[in-house]
Amino acid sequence: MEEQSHLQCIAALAVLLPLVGSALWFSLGKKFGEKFVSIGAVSFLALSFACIAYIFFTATLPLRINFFQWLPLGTSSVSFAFLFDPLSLALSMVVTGVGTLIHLYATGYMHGDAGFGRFFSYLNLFVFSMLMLTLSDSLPGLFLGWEGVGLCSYLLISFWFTDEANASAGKKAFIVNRVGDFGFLLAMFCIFKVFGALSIPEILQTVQAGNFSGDDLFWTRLACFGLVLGAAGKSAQIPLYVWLPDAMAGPTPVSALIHAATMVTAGVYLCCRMQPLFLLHLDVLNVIAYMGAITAFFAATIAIFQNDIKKVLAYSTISQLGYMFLAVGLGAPVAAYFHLITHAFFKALLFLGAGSVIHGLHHEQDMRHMGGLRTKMPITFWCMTIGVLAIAGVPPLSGFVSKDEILHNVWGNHDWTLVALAFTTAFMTAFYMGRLWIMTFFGKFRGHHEAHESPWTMTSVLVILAAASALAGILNWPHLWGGSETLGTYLSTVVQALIHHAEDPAHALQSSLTLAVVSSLVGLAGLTIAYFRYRNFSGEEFSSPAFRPFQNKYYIDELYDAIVVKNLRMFGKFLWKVVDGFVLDGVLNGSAALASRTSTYLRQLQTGLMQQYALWIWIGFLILLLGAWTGRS
Amino acid sequence: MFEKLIQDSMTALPMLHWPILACLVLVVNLFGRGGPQFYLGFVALGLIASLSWDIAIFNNELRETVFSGGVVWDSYAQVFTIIAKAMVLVVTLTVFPVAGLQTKFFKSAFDQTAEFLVCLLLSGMGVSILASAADLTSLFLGLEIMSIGLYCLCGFYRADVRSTESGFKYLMIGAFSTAIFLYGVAFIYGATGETSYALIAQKMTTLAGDPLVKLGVLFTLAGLAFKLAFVPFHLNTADVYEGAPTPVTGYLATIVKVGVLAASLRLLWGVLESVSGMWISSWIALCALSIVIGNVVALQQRTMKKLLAFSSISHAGFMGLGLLVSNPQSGDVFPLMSYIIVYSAMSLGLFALLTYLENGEKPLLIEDLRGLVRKKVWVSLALGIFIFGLAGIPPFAGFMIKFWIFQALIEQGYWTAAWIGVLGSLLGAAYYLKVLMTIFISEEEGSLISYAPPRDPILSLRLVVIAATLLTLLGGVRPQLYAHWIFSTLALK
Amino acid sequence: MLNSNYLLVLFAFPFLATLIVSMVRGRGQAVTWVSIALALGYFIVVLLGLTVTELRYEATWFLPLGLKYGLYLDSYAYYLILLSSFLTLLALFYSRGVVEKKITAYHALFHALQATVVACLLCDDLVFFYVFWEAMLIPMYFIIGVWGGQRRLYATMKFFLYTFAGSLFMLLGLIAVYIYYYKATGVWTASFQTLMEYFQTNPMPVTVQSWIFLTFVLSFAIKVPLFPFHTWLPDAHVEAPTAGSVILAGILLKMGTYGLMRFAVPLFPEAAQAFAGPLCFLSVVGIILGALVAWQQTDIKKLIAYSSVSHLGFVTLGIFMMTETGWNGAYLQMINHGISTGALFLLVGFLYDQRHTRDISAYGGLAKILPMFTLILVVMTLSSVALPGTNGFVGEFLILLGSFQSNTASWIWVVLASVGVILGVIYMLHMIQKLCYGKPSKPEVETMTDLTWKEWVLYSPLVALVFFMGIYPIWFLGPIQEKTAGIFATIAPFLAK
Repeated sequence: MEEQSHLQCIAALAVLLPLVGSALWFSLGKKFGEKFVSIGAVSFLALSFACIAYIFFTATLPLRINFFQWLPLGTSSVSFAFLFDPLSLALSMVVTGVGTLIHLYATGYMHGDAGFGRFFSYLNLFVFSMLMLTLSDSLPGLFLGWEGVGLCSYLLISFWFTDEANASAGKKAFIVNRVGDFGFLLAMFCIFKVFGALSIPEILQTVQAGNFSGDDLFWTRLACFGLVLGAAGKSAQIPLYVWLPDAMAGPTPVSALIHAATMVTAGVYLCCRMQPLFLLHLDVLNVIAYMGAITAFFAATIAIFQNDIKKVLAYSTISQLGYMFLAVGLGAPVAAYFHLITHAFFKALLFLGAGSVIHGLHHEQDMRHMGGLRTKMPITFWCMTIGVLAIAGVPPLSGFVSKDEILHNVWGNHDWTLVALAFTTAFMTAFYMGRLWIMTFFGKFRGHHEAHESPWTMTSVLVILAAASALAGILNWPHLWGGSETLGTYLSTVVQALIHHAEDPAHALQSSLTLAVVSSLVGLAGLTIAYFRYRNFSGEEFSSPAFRPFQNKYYIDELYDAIVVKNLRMFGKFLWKVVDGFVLDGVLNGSAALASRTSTYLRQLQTGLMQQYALWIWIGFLILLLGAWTGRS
Repeated sequence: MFEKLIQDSMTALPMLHWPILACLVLVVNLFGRGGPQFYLGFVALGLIASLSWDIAIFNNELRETVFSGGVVWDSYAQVFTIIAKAMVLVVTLTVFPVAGLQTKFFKSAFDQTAEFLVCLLLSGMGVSILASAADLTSLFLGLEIMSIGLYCLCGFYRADVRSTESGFKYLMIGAFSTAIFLYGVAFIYGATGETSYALIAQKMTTLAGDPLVKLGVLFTLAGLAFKLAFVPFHLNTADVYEGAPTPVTGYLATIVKVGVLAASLRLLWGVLESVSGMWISSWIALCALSIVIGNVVALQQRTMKKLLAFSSISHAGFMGLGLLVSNPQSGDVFPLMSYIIVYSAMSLGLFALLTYLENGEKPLLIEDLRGLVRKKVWVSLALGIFIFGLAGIPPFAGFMIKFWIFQALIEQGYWTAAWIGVLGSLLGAAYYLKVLMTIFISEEEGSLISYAPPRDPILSLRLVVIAATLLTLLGGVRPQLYAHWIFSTLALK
Repeated sequence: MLNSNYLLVLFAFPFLATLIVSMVRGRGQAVTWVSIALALGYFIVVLLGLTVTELRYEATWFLPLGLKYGLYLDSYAYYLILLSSFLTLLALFYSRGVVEKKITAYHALFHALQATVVACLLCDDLVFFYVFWEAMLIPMYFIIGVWGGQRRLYATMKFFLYTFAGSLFMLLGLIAVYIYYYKATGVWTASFQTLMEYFQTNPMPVTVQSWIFLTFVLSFAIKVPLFPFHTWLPDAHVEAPTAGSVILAGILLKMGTYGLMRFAVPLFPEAAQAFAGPLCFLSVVGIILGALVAWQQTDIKKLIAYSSVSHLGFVTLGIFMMTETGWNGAYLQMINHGISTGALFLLVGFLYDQRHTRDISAYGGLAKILPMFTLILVVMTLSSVALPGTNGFVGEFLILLGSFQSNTASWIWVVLASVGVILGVIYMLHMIQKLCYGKPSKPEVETMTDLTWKEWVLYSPLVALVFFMGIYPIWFLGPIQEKTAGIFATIAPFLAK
């Protein structure tokens, strides 16, 4: 078993390196200066990536590494343990890989910032929590990573805390995440009630093997809904998406790493991980599908009208996540996972590109003050172009392949509302990405500052990511088109697809080809319309009142604030002033006052006059006499 | 004919120590010109001598009716005489610092120290007679001897109008109560034709429902309630306690109640046991009222002595409950005895401190004690311990004695009395805490801080206070101190 | 060494310490160092008994009516004594430069408070448990009274009388048990162990058991504080000196829950079963009310006081749901709450000593000026918000998970209590934002100095404990599990299946 301990120390190294790093940069950041921190941070991340890659290539999956007992739960117990299987390894590879690139990028972007050490400490802490989330073997371990990333996103969003708006954006993110975590907690309790254990492999085994009584099914159904609420909270789906646009208050590398590539995908990972449980309740899967589709459509409509470049990308992330949940809901986790990976590449690319634009224009984020940057920032322009084409779904880039896969599954499902939603969203995605592309890089320059290209540390990352998002398609090139679907086969040991295209191969090839053509045409149409609309863009647009609700994000934030926050605050005041102040204290002080009032009244009897005393005494005595007399004889 | 008398007086000698000592003081006063200190010393030594004598000849099995049936000299009588002597000794020790003083106020009052002590001793004798009375007439005799001594003690500061007012009020109410008491005795005599306890007890078994007996019992009860200052009969207590000299107030609050309780213990349980249906419910009502109303009125009191007056009423209520649960035949009197001993110790200790603290001109207001701890640390510590004790807050003895009473009440099923006792001690804690707050916590300066009492607390007062604090402090944590003595002396279980 | 004499040392040491401290004359500094040394000494003495599982000491002092000074130490009592000695040491070390007037009395009272708390925890005799249960109030009464804030007279009076009133009812319940045992067996004894064994085989009729259980619960509920009886806590905390608040929140509140776990439920399992529903309702209301009202507060100490109401709502929920895991979680949460709230009060004290105001809006932008202070504050907030990885999470998770499985009361209470997890974040982050984030606008805030080595000595053990117990709670939960298993073995026959 020494092979096991050998892997054990590598796994521990992979996860604990970022944690040790975060403590180092926080404490020594100021003393040793930026150079030390940047080299240290990037190298720690690269080392961690190397370890994960080592395990990825050499270990026989699924590999379970146990450390020590954490929570005693009476009959069973939860311990710190890692589970290396296709699902977790794929995501942790993405996390550490993209993470290292973004760390490199951030050394350039954050150059000269006072809290340089603090920033990298939080970023490393984030990677540690994300690895805990992906690799944990038990649900509480996963929950530890889950809330850890929530905490890091809070710390990083409100990184420039001197500005009150950033701080409240961070607070909002943490609270909304906590609403999701409430669902996750509830799910864990229900699962424990049915399975009596919280270690994921155990649960999934009993799910495959066991048959469940009516009562158990109630609890597992509640658990699934809890998990969906948790996933919605973390991956910013319909009810709980409000925090992601505000999260753009954080530095751009944060938006790229956390709010595009890794953290927000945690919800998808959770649904894929617990897929056997979901398969018990197909109606819950349907709910996920519809949630995903509607969120995708809804976010796309808002993205079209945003002027801040990062807000557009934020809503686009919500929309793309909607796609992934749609795929999971339809029982095609492989498609969701593939889109997750490709999305991580091109969305990180787009965010970092936007970051380099903002960096170049000295923190100018409004697209209306940009334009004509393709000559001044060529590398950023060409990389961003690849990103925009990928997300718009232009073949043969990765975005086209993964989105087509999802559209294929949606089409196979024959649920026409979902199909309609999916295709219109595809069109709108292409349109707003085109709009962003043209408004920033074409037409004449509308900004104030002189734009300049970003340093090599930033542009080199852009190039790498551009290459990745271009070529990622081959990861899961569908069989029909002669591909080997490597990712599909890799994941097939863990998750199973529901929709099987039963038709004969010839017909299937013909329908998938037509579908591919249709989706690429939709993408190209969106881009060309955007091109013609914004070619000679002058500055203002959508003036007519009809677009008012879209520009103000359907007033959702105001709605939440009015319904939830204001009422809670009023209820709090009521509880404090009325329940505590008036009722409970009232009773207390009232009884004290009653005692002192009767005592002052009785004191008045002490007049000092003998006659009155004698009178009162006789009255007292007579009452006593009557009492004794009429009582028991 | 004289042999019987001499023989009886030899058996009941401890009771006769009081008059002997009193006469000695009178005789010495005729000749000698000794100052107040001399007489106080003389009485103190006398009392110590008689106390040691009594303890030496203490005989548990002794039970003789002497003086032709008037008095029965048994372990009760001996124990209560010892207790009475101890308390009178404490009061005389408390008077020491006051007597030696030459200020205007005390000078005129204390040139008759001898008279003060004679009244004190004779009143003490009354208590012994009460404790050992075996006949309604000697009960009445004891009651009157004790009261008459008290009338002049209360009014002893002739120059101070409040003292004369107190004496006069005590006299009026005393007469009033004696009349009611005699009325009750007459009815009982009318119904049974007997005055001796033993014979009445036999007759009572046959007269269960007789209205005449019920009337008699109730009137006697009222008479005793006057002396114990239970609630409907408590109205004069505040003015009497306020006016009387502080040592006398201490005497009133403790020894008078002890004596009357001893008498009522014998009368109610010894004699009227068979007709207990008549008096138990009104006795509980009396005690309950005293506990609650005593504490409620005390909430708003501003002068220290009035506050202690009402607190003594509520403690009397508790002692009444103690009496209710005790059963002399089986010897189960522990709750009552422990309450009497510890309560008296705490009260006398507190009154001793008040005599030392007050400057005599005006009544001692609670405000005067404000912030006392900053100047007089030891005095405030002692005050704190006594007040915590009286409030019945644990680790102090005050709690343990209440615990025994609650325990006995619940054991015998008097639930309403227990709940009312709980409510009463809660109310009690409220005003005691207010006093503690003024002494220890308040920032302002009470008048007493600057007022340096002209006389330093000589040895006697320190002795009294130290003894009382030790009993209050240790009595709670280790009630063995007094429990063992009670069990062994009263041949109890 | 670890035999019954050790118990006597454990019992007597703080009383001796009180005497020694009150005897010390000389300038303030001497008293402070003597008292801190004694507190440290006692902490070490307690640490020696770390491996103890169960110790019993039979006093030879026989008292009337079978009352005996029996001492009994098990892991429930032990860890609370450890917490109490630890927090007293920190509180005394904190109040070195802070307290000016009457230093000797100050230190003597803190040692007296510890003495009574330890005595109460060790007492095996119900009556002497009650005696020291009340005696705890006296030192606290003076600490709040003499060194408190403006409204201290009202606050300390309210604190004392409220708890005293509740406990008086317990006195009657206690005596009823004492008498019931005497009537049933003819033997006078109030020793808890013998009563437990007796009631296990022949329990009291449920009606009798119910009202006695209610008197016990009333007294402990006021101390915890459970929902309707909590209004004394904010006043007491606001007016108490910092060290007083630390001990009040860290230890005195736990005596209520300790009493429930040690006396109320084991003695009267059927009654606890019958009243589990309403009591869980009160705990849940306490959780939600505590959180929401804390969110509205402008005074930091009141905010933390209400947060304690919310946290202890979780503990009582764990207790009344009557599951083993729930009880382990509840006990652990008691210790966690002691650590995190004790630390929060020390931090507020640190601010108060420099700025002399508890109003939350008087600060702002502390993260810029006091970065280390903000770090500690954030860590303690995370612990009280139950972030996984900190001790708060382990406690809360065990409570909620365990209670969810219980069949004594409905699982809806656990769902509502989990809502408290969300509310907890709201008011804590609100506090952090108001205190630390934003631009440091006020000039007085600019001049505040960050943590010195003295503060680090105070906070580093607390931070270490927060993470150590968050990651490796087994060292602590092991003995607690055995004790809970023991209790549940006795009350299992009465629990609903």
